Amino acid sequence: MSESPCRLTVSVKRPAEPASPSQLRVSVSDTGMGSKLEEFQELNVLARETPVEKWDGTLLITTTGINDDAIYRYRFNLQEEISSARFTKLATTYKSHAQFSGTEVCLCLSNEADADDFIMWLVGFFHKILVLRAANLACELFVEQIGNAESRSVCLPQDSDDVHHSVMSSNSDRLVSGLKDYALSHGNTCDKCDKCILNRDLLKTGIGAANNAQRRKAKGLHVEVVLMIARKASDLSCWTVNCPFTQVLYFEDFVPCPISQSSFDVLVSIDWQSYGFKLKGGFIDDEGNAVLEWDNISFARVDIAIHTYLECAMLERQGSQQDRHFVRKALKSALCHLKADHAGDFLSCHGQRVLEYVPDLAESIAGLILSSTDKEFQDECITLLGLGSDQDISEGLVQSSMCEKMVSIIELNDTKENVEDNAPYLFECERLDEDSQLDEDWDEDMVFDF
Amino acid sequence: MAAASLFGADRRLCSADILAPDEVRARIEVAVLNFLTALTSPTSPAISVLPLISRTSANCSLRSGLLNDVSSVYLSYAFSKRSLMRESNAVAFVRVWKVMEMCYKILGEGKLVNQRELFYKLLSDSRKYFSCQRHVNRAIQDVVSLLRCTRQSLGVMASSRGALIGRLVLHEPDEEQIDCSILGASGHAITGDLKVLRKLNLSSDARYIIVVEKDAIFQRLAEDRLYNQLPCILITAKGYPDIATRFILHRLSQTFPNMLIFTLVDWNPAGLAILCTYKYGSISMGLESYRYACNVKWLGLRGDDLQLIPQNAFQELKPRDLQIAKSLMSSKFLQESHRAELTMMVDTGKRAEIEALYSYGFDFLGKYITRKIVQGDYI
Repeated sequence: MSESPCRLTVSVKRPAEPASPSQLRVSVSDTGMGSKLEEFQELNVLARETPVEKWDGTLLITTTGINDDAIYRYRFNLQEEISSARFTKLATTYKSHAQFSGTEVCLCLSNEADADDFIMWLVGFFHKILVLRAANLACELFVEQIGNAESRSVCLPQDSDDVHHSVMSSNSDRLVSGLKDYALSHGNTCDKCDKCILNRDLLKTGIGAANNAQRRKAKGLHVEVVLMIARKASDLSCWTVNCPFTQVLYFEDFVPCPISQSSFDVLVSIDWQSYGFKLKGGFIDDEGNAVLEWDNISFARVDIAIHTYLECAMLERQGSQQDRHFVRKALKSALCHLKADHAGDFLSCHGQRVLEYVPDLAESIAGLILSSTDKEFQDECITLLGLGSDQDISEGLVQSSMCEKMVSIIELNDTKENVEDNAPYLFECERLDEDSQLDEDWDEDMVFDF
Repeated sequence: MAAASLFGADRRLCSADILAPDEVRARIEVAVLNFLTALTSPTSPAISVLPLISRTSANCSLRSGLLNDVSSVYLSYAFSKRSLMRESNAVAFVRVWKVMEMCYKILGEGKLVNQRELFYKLLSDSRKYFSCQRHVNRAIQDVVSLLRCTRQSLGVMASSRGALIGRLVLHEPDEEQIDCSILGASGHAITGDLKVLRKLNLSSDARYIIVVEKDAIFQRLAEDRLYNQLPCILITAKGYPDIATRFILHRLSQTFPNMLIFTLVDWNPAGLAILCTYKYGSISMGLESYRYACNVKWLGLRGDDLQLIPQNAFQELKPRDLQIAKSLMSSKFLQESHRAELTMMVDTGKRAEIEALYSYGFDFLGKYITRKIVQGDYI
């Protein structure tokens, strides 16, 4: 990314009357280091795929480097077959004494019925870019009607009361912040929800990263995954809760893009159940976004962002095998982070099922203890539980004490391997043969044993 | 497969002790203390696993008595685990504790309840865990396996379905004598309380005990007062034998060692299974039932008698019959002659009920029994 601050502005001017046949003017400008003409040749393919009625393949490019004396302007026609004839140089303007650099690209799209769709898509795309909160980058989007400067229908970003990041913040910290706002505005389906903003701190975050930068022959691939979970409806405190779908935000090299197949495969194959999530299924929607559907959701909202980027922009990407490995590693790391920070909230599905039995078990044993006429026995039990013998011990107190201890054991051992093999037996067994599971359908009427 | 050896079996016999209420309560208290100790361990707290003696055919063996020819099935020291952490048996795990809690309280009050009463109590307290009698019965057997004490020691008895009649005088201490030869056709109901049965004084001049599978046959023979023609005692459990009936039969066999014991069952795999239970005991209650095995003989119906049965009285073997037959065939304990009978049943695919003999008149059955005994026609 850029080392010095840079601004990116996208501006869309739509015609005054909706029905008028005039065109949509789109301009993308930045204060970066200026562009080389070769970079635009890549758009060649895009030009061929787009019907001429929508876009005539023409770009108006204005660019200047920091050390240039002049500001250069070109018309670039991608429909032109001969690549050398694509550029037409236009009038040059000379800078006086000011030092600046940047590029502006303008294009015109025909104003068929698509305008609203296009603007909606653009807004969504922009929102996603804003989630990244890329360092040293300020992004702006304006949509206005021609000849009517006051009628800006969209202006992004809006004033946000979020944390201002220092230059030293890592990419993942920024992504966390961006995703938090995204979640609190319900995936940008509405303007910032006032109620939810208040609950910013109730959102639970899991961050995971993986990269191969340590390896010497590395190509510097970084993967960052951020999970943002609203545990209960009260975490969000507004009516849009218990959303069973998650549209995954996927970025490659700081640009929102359709999810790669390998990353999608990772998303649907990871062991969500170990963290208390029940995945019903996943699919890729028309725009290339991964959508995950949760079953019987115990979380009010789940947001996921995945960002893969190469450390040095010039490097080429490796095959998808490597991507898959690092995405999986980062996602797992994010899930583990969630679990480590908020133990009880992300208990595996198995653990949750076991927990259901705990109150009844505790009640039973507590009832047994308190029904006893043997004072010594009772005292010993109460001492073991660490309850003071001077207070009045009620069955409820014993029960809750036992519950507490069992819950913490279950949480501690959740998804650990080999816990069962090490669990102590209630009584010593003389000789333990191999574990033979008692079949539940063992006998029908206790009749036919043989 | 462990071979039965004359000097005790190769594997150690695991037994349920007959204990006084205080002793059982003490065992339960130890269980609770062990559980809490593990739960509150400062270094490695854990939820203990319950080790239960396996009640499976893999863990059972046959032993022969040294001084008599009574063989019995017994269970050895193989365990299966019940763990809260394992989903498949978490419910069973909790059930064991619920039953222990209930038994602890019952014993504390000095009571004895039967399984049905226990079921209703548990149903009202913990509907989530006990929705049918079977759950309760199994959980009780789990507690028996865990604590290694008999069911009755836990304060639970099974209601007995058994009845007996014939040349026998019962005398409960401090009670009147009961002359079982002058009772109505339904006979004397056998109580489920083993303690009472244990204290009974028995006197008899009978030479035979006839164990009858079905109540209808029992009543027929009782009405005909078979025991006035043949010196015998008639006994029935009205189906699958319960512990109390087996217990009293065993006591009779101990008190009167020269009495021969015959069984009268339908000619089908279920009948043979009932016979085997009287003879060897059961696996499901293997920790206690080995004590009550008796040397019973198969009087009828048998393959040889089939010629007496009119063709249209035969029925097809049902899938359940075949299931039972298969299970019996694969058991380690079936003696050769019994196995041959079973094979015949399966091969012909037919079954017959004792009632089929009524085609010769209602008094035929008594004559049939008498003739068989006199001729020594039993296996």
